Amino acid sequence: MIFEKIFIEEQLINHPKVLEMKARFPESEFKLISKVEDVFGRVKKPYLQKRTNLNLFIGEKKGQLVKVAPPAYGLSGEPHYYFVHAYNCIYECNYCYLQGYFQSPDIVIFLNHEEIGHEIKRITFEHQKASPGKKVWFHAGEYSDSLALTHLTGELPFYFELFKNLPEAYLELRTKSVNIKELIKLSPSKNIVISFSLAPEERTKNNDLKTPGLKARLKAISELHERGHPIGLHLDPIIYDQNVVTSYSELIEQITRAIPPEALSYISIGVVRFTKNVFHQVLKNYPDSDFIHDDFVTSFDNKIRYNKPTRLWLLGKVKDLLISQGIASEKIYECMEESDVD
Amino acid sequence: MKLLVFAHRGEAFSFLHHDQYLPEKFHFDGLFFSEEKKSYLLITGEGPKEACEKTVAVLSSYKDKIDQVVNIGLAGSLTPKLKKHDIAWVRTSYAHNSTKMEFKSYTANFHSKIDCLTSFHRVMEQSEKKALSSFADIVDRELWSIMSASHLLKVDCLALKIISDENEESDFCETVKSEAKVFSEFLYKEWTKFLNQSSPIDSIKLKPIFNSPSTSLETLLSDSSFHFTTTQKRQALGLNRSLKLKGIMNDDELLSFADTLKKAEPELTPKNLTRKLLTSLEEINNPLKKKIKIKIEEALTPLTNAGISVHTDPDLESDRLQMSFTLSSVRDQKKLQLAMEQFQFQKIKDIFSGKIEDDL
Repeated sequence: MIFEKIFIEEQLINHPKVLEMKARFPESEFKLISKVEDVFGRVKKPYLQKRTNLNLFIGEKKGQLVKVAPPAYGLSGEPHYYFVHAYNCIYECNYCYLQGYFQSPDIVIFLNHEEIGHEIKRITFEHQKASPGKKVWFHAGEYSDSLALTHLTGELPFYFELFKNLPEAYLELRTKSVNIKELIKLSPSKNIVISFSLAPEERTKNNDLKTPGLKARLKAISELHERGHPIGLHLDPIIYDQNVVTSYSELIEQITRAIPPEALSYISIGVVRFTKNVFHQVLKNYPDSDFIHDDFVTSFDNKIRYNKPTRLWLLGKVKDLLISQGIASEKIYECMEESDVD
Repeated sequence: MKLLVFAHRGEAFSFLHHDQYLPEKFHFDGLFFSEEKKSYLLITGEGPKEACEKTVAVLSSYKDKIDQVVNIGLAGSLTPKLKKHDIAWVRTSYAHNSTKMEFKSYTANFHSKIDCLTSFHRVMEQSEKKALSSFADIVDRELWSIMSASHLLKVDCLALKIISDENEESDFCETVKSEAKVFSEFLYKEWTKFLNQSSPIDSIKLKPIFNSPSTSLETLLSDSSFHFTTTQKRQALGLNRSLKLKGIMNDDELLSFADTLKKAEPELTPKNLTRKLLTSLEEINNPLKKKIKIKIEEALTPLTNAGISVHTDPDLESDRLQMSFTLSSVRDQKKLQLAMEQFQFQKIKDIFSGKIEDDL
């Protein structure tokens, strides 16, 4: 990977990670800026320019470092938070909401992990005080892939060490990557779940552009499981086509060959959905993708979805397929909104 | 027909000279037409305001004739990789309005790696060039406003720039003036290469235009047996694309399908035939939706058989039903009561909960 320009916040000029980046990307143009927001997101940079020139920003995350996760995020009944240590992704899933989120495809990485860690600790202690023994979840990968760049960003040891000392706190590293070389250097921790987003092989090829293929992801899952890392799965977004039942049936069989069903920590299932802005970006960026001209409607919360019977049928169908392959019902959670739950 | 837009006469010199552009009578001076090239040429004067005003004026008056705007001219380099006399086709155009960056950008329908920033004032200071270089590779004074005008009038816009000064140079105005004809000749050569499709730039590959109907679809849309509203035209376009992308129905098959329907339903009015065609195509494109509709119809049978008109949400987002029935006798009342007793609303609820299998 080559970054055309690498923007660095001035105060980080001598940070070891910055020095490492300079050595690693000698051909990139390095530019000092006072803060990431001075350049990143100031103009609308077309999303598909990530294919030809991608810039990297290195800065410190300001504002709220850990946020309450949106509804339908993780197993219910437990508090869920997400933290942001990066923006944007090297992959190009054609349904991805990042297309319409930052107005720039450039990658941003934040280096103030200590501060993020401090906030995670504070929230965990607060929860422990209020409800001793109750799990609290922290998710990485809301705005970026949690593993794809870890060989460059190098934050995994910090978070493994942090969560080792917070046994009631759970960390989810959400990914489509098979970049597990940094991960396998670390001892597994029962409260750190590596969760992979998966889709049937044809869908992965057609929609998860520039990502590792399904077989490679299943191999990574298998390897991590054998090394003792807890594994979660996200079958999200499910996209309807006439072969959806057959293709998900095959996918679930492939999953159970890669990892025993009882070893999975959880599986989330969700149906494709977009904000209006993202939907228009997808139409603009991927007019030839097979799913975007489907019969979508503006649903109860103004998001663009399949009609209600279709999306609930899809969720029900995939859930049934998972259960029929031996996955316990209580490990499956459906990513759906309040109004879909009658 | 193309409209070539220049800021200065010097930049346009070779174009005016080689292609025999003659002044065109217009509201202001600066518009030319070449009979030989079947192309207009506009000289706007320097700066975004003049460029925008004059481009909008010309495009508004000649909109039916002009299908592409090309801004050609000089630009300053903001990066060491672009040297004097280098030629650049522009990818994305940004703007700096003297105090801040304009958020809006315009991207040419053209593969290139060079971005251009239009500054609302002349950029002379090195510190300013350095700041602007975070956003683009070259700087000019007009492109963003020309692209903005073209975007407004929905005309495709490209830009061809020649580097007139490099990053380090500070006072370049005189140099530019004295060398204008040389720059113009370079630009003219590049433009001629482009027109002959033999440009050395590997990036000259136009993207397919989205949303333009295929010839077959155009034939269908103009068939007098059908009557498409604007929304229905959009729907037909979407269905046509979707069916093609999924490999279900190509253009010829679509035409043949419409023809068969036309013959099978000769009594339908054009409006109803269009509705029927779109519904049928939708069902082919999404058989699950057809199944859902059949299930709903089945569940509503006790009501519809009794003559109750039932309105369901066309988007299938809400399970609420609206019914109307004219009650004019005791017999009607009994009919209504019986129908309501036989009707099971739970079946509708079940369908909207995704239970649409045969074992419902």
